[in-house]
Amino acid sequence: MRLPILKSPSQGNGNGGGSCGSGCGCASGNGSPNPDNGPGMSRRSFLRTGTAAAGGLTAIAAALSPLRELEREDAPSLEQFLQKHYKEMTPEDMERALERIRAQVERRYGIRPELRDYKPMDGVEFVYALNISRCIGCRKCVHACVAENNQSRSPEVQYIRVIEMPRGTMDMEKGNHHYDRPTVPDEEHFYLPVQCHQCANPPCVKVCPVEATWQDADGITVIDYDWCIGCRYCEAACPYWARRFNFSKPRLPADQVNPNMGYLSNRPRDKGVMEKCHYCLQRTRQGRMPACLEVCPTGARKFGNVLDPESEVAQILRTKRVLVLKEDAGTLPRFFYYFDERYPSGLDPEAAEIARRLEAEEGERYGCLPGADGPELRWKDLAPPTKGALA
Amino acid sequence: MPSSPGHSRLPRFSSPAWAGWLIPPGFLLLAAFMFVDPIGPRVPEAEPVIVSRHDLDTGSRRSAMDDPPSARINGVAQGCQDCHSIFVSVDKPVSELSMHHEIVLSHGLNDRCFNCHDRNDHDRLRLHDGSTIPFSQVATLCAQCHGTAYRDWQRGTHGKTLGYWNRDLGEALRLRCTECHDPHSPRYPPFTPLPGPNTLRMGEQNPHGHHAPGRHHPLLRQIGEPDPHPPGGTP
Repeated sequence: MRLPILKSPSQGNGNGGGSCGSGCGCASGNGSPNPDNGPGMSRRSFLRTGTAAAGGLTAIAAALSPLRELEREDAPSLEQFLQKHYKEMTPEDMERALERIRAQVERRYGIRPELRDYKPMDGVEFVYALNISRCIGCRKCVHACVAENNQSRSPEVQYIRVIEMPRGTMDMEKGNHHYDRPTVPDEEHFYLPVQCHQCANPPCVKVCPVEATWQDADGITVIDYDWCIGCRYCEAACPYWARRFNFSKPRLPADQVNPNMGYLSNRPRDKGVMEKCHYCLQRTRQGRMPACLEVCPTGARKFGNVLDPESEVAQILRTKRVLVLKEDAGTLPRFFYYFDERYPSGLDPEAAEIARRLEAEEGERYGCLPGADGPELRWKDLAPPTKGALA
Repeated sequence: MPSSPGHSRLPRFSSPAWAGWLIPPGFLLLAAFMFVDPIGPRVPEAEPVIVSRHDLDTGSRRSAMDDPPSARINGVAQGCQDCHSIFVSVDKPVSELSMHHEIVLSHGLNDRCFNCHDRNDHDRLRLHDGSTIPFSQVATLCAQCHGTAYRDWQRGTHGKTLGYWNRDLGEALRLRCTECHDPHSPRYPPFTPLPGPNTLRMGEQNPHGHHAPGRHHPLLRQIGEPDPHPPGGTP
């Protein structure tokens, strides 16, 4: 996009037609203090003003020059520009917006998406539970999420980080999410996948200056990508590093587009907007499971409606030891980590010895084979690995 | 506007007066450079990671034995009783058997076939009390020793559930023990992890450098300080 403003430096000072740039002695004018120079302006002040104006105009042009990068396809249409806030849109407004996005996706990727605006279901509050005794750190969830949610492949945007933590600590400073082993799991580490915790008290929602992100009735914190201004306050506010920013234009190969899209979830994003995990709401608001859960080879991931007392997540909250990350942040996450009571072998020799003895005793009584699960162990029977490990 | 020449003529400097005239063209050149932008925006990008669809398979990890069970003998599927109604099987560890060498039995102390398989009817499994169950009810057999896992599995807190979380909208599919665990060697084999993140602006990631000093803290690595918390270094 060429800006006509550029021409102004060569046109001189704009002091009316016919005025040449070199300050020659043109026709004398009225009341000029210096009779050698042009009307109303000395040679020096002409040069000064002209240079300043030229510099200023060039600087403005330079500041606007990124607009040249804007392709016609990416420029917001008038309709998009005038679109109302999500909560103020009528069903007709929403249908127009969906049709606009469908057409845009079709132009960009050559496929007609199944785009809908999925609303929260009544009497549903989603909760995620993840068994850290079972997670093996294979990162299948990370890539299944990318495939499902149309994230940018390059630059890479991933909603889930699997952190490899040394056993016996919950100190996140000691975690490493770049681990690259030939095989997992490693005996000396455990694995802590982190994604958006869909907090009941979300700091990211509070800091948004334009209300482009909010918490829906089923507990999912959503983002309207058409309303986000890209200030990244929410990214800074999130204690779980769950929000991702599109620093440059997302690159998504057309053959890897997932055509099942939701307005607030996995429709393709643009440069300069924030995105994050939304519990695959285009699936879960239809009763299905999130993509990260379906791909998990160990069954460590559990998802469901916590208001249903028979749901798996409600059972876990009732019967398992659960913890949340950074509880002291007061965010009230809807993402719980839990573990099986059985003490992982090789973690603590003393505790393992207690477990072995109990198993042998109980096994003798019930005719079980030693080495199998044995009786249920209570956490308090076992020495904690380090002080404040689960504090 | 800093490009005004009058500001550059400060009395303290003894430089010639014309030097001040260099400042506005300097700014002009800078503005022109910014406008033309010969370098262009540089966002670090790596080649996209391609993960095969096979790696993201969502089904059960393995397929459980059919009920009634069968085995491939010389490439032909045979029912168990096809052979075992004729041949009497021996009660020996797998290493001493003349058949079924493909079975890797690594199930703790449970190293005898007839702890689980029925000696007379090879199409069925045998419980500790002597009664037999079909292969489809394998969970009952496992539950004899793995009580806590069985209890959790019944509640849905152990094992994988596919399908729908909402029973009104669709069916939930609970996988059975042997759809994830090989009953002969139930412990999961080690997995090859999928590629890790290519974090922007954190410099080049060392693919093999888990133990390389400073990898854990990119900032420390940049200023050449050793990493105080090398990953994996904690006891």
